[in-house]
Amino acid sequence: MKRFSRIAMSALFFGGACIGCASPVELQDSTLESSAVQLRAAVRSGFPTQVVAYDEPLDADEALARQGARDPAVTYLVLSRTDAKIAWAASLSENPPSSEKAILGRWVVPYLRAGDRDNALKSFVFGYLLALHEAGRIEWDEALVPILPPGSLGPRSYTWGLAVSFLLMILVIWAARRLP
Amino acid sequence: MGEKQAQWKWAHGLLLLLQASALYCIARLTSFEHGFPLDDAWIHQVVGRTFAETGVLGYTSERFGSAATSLAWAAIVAANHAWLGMQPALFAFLVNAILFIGTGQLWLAMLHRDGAPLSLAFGSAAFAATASNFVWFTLSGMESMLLVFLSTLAIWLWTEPGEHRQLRAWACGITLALLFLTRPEAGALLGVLALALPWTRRAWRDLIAIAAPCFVAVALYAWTMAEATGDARPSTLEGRRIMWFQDVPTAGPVELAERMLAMWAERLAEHALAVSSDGLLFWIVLGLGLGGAFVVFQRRWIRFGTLLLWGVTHIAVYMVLLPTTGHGGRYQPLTPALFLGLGWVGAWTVVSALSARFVPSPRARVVTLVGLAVLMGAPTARSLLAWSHAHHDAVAHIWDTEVAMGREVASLPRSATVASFDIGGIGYFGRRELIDLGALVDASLVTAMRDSNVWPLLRARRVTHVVVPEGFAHDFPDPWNFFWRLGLHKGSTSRLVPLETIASSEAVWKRGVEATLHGAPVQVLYRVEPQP
Repeated sequence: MKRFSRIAMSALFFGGACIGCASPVELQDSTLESSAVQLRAAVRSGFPTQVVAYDEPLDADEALARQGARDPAVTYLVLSRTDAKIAWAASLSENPPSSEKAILGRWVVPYLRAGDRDNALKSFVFGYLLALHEAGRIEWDEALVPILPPGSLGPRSYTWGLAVSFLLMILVIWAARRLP
Repeated sequence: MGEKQAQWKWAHGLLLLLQASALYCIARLTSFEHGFPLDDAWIHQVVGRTFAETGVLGYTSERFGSAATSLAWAAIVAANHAWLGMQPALFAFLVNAILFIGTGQLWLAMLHRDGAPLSLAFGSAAFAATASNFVWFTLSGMESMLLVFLSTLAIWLWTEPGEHRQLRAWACGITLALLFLTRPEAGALLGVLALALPWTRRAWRDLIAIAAPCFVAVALYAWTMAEATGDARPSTLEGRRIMWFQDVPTAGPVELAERMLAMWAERLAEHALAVSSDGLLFWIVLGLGLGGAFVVFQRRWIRFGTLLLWGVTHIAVYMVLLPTTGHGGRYQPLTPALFLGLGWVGAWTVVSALSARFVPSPRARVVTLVGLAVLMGAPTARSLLAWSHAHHDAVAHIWDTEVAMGREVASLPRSATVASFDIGGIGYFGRRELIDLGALVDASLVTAMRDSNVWPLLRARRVTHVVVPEGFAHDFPDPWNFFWRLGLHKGSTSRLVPLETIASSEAVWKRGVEATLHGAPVQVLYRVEPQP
């Protein structure tokens, strides 16, 4: 029975620990992957596009510079922790599908303000593809990844909360051993 | 001895009063005439009506099991359509209320038989049974309360061998079979009961008695589903997987499980305690609850311990199969109840240990425990009041959008072929055959849904009208916006012309959706036309 109690308690605590690991507003690897999939719609129509994402409070130009030599045929969607930028490919810079300001203003800035980088990237990619689609430049046939509206998720850290829970749990165990 | 028994009887009576008060508290603002807080509850009503009218237990009479998440609940609902003719929401509420009351009473009886002290047992059963999110399942029109009641009954029958050990084992087996037909994943309770066997004073052969009816139910279910759909699994599973996880297409099982636990953390904080998960109170109750779980196992409270183990196992099963809480937490309905019930066990243990040391007067100890109950009851009471508004607004939203759109669909010409993503209120009040874009009725539509490309399907089925849920902004691809999620923006030889847009106000929608996750704020009816 004692072993059974320990196993059950460990499982419960592991569950709690998993909650602590979940951080919904950081940029997820799965979002980077799905963004690359989404951007295939642009690539197929002759507009190669690449995401440049840094998890630091960098100026977007600096983030782009860190990439090293740029390919003039590629459009870069640059996203740092605090800034964003579109570096148009040569084929789009003369006649962009929409202004950079319009895309960033609606689709990226509100998320950066809310500290939600994960949805910022999803929204950035969507806004860019929507601009290309509405300008008649691309056939948009990739499955869409839904995006949460800005401000839906606040930055949350569960670490301190779990520490409180852990201490309370120890207190209960201590108390239980003192009761007849 | 007689006095103690009288005290336990009083405890059962008081618990009944608290349960009734909690129910009244949430239901008080809402009329049953206006239906359900979830569109899925209307899907059960369509299945029940189809069963009553045609004898086929499915959304359509052509396909057994279609869109039926719970065969047992749909069959119960069908009784109303066949013989009683009550308001669907009132009938569902009455059945669920009986199950709700029975569940709470059984929990108290289990703790009593486990040997828990009266104040601990009563508090734990009372906090568990009046956990606001849990109480709301009674009003949801869904099968959640049936699942909880049957689980509890099965555990009671198994862990309480009594004089008629064999008879109780067979009764437990039949309950498990019904539980499986209520929700197939709940068949996992059989494993939990087997695990608890060494502590039940039962013989190994009793396992045969509980397993046999369950296996018969599984075999019958699998065979009928395979015959009807070509797949033995529930027909709704794949459609629901896409609906819940389309926003994280490349997320692995661990990430999805983490998301689910985080969702529960948010839900328990906001909709069981009425605080933010950033707030201290949630973490305190969680810690007390985890400690309470330790106490349950340490004291070898086999009945309540098995219930707890089942609650954890049920979450684990969902982590693998469908890692989400579901609308309003309905997929794992034991969770909010166990959270608060165990929270009381933990708090009672700490306060009792401290007062045994520092409070010499027995009367002062009683006062301390009453004070603790009042302190812990305050967030529950606040949360019950918040749920009354959330429930009211959720019912209003479903009535004003899904049901209203159903009436629009009913007024279309009989020659129209209509496809819709939501098929509950629209199906019930539309009273016509719908092509289900959510892949709940016909699993062969899953591919079109997964690829966000339903245009070929619309063309193949000669669809003339489409109803889709959308967000407040048509061009924003939020998770509510199925115009985008179904790929209706994609190039096609046809176009969609909006005929009718029905929306709730943002305030009504938001208050309901935060608690119940009921659905999109807007329903749009489109006519399919050739491109000019």
